[in-house]
Amino acid sequence: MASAGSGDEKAAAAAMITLISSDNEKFEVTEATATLSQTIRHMIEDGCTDGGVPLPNVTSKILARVIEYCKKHATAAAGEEGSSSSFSDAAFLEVDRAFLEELEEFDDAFLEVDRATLFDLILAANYLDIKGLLNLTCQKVADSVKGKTPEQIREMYNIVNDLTPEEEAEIRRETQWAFE
Amino acid sequence: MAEQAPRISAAPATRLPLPNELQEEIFDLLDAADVAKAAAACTSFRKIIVAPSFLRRLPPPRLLGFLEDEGHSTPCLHSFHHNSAPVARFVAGAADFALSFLPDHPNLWRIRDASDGRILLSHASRRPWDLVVCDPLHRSYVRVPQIPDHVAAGARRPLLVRLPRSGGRRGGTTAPGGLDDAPRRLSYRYYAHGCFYWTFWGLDTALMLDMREMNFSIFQLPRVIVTWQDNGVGAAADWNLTRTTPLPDDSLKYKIVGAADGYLLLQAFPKHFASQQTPQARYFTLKLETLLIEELFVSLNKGVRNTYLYVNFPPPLALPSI
Repeated sequence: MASAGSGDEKAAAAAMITLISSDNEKFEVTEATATLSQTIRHMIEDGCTDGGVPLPNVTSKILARVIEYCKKHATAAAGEEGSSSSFSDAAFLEVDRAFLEELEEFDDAFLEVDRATLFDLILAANYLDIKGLLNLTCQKVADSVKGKTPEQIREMYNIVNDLTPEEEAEIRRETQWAFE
Repeated sequence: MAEQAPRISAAPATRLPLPNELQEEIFDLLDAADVAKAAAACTSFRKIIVAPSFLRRLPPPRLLGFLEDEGHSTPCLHSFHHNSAPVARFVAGAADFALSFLPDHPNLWRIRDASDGRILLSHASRRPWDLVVCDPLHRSYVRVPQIPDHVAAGARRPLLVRLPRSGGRRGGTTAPGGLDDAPRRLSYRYYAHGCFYWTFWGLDTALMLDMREMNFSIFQLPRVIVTWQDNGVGAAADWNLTRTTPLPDDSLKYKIVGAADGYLLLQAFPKHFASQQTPQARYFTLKLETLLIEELFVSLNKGVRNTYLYVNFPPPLALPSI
């Protein structure tokens, strides 16, 4: 596989993988898209993808979103490979920048989801081991917490304050600097 | 593109619907102040954040402050005013610098050294040396095995090293200036980034022991130095003084306590004081990049004898790193 020529590579890119969600919906994706997930990449390498890859932890709704992300980013990865082989620094950077901007816009729009979906995406990205998606979604949650008070964080994520008043007072004392 | 799926809002929960390790990933992306605020939101956040495994993930190296050992009371951590101060205060709150987890009364232990977030202490009254390495953040300690008498006796002899003529000089063919076959006496030992360093008296050559590889090498000291002037401190490159800055108060005698994170910690005592009085130490930080000197206003005990920089989070003591 590693020493495959360009012809084989094309064949590999065109090879289709079937992903099966927890609610039994089937998704046909290219191997290039699927292998953004390290979990699926390992399954392909082990040759256990015949008859589809069951993903019992991912619903069809979330899997559809994950595939949308992988498709876009797989294209981006392929584009990067293409331009690095014909190495012209300035041109490469120009293409790169336009590409990155487009990708960023895609990511921003992709993250416009409700909080429950965002958490489901984090879980799916972690289970499927898609580093880019995991970073993106975790960053989104982190950004939403930045500069917020504990009350605002609770309200935003619908969390009950289960600290006793004593505990809360103690934490406030310890971390008073953060509230200054 | 945006998909706002209508969802029945779930009943309030006491935690996020994510396993702890994923919540840690998220907290990792926050700065110390936001982490502290999150810790005050609910029990599950607090548990994750104050766990040593999370604190250890914060990026090293961090100059957290300095420890003073006053001799007759427990050591304490003074934080700096530069950008790691919030983390330092967080650590000061989470760690036990009173060392109450040590056997015997903590007052019976003297600080001997501090490195990588750990503190080496010796028992004040036991002979031969009873040494422990402790980790105030994780409230644990290990005893250093007793050094056999014959080894201890050998260790007190000065270490002499014969430098090879062309030894380790990077790209050079000539021996370092004035080098001959005579055994050289090593100066004081320095430690940084897993390596011990010794310099040789009168030579700009240093011996390095890499503790991970357990090998020695000899190298030329980079000629960037911090030098003391009569009334100021300066950074020099290639022995030409390039920048100087005056010391804030020339009625004081200054001493470098240590260097970390681009800062020097200076300790200063009055040049003149009544002999029956214990002089009060003052502390200054010197930022090497800008040569900016700032005084640290900390409530210090009188008669502080030794001060140690406290840098970095301690790695777990269980790892075979010694």
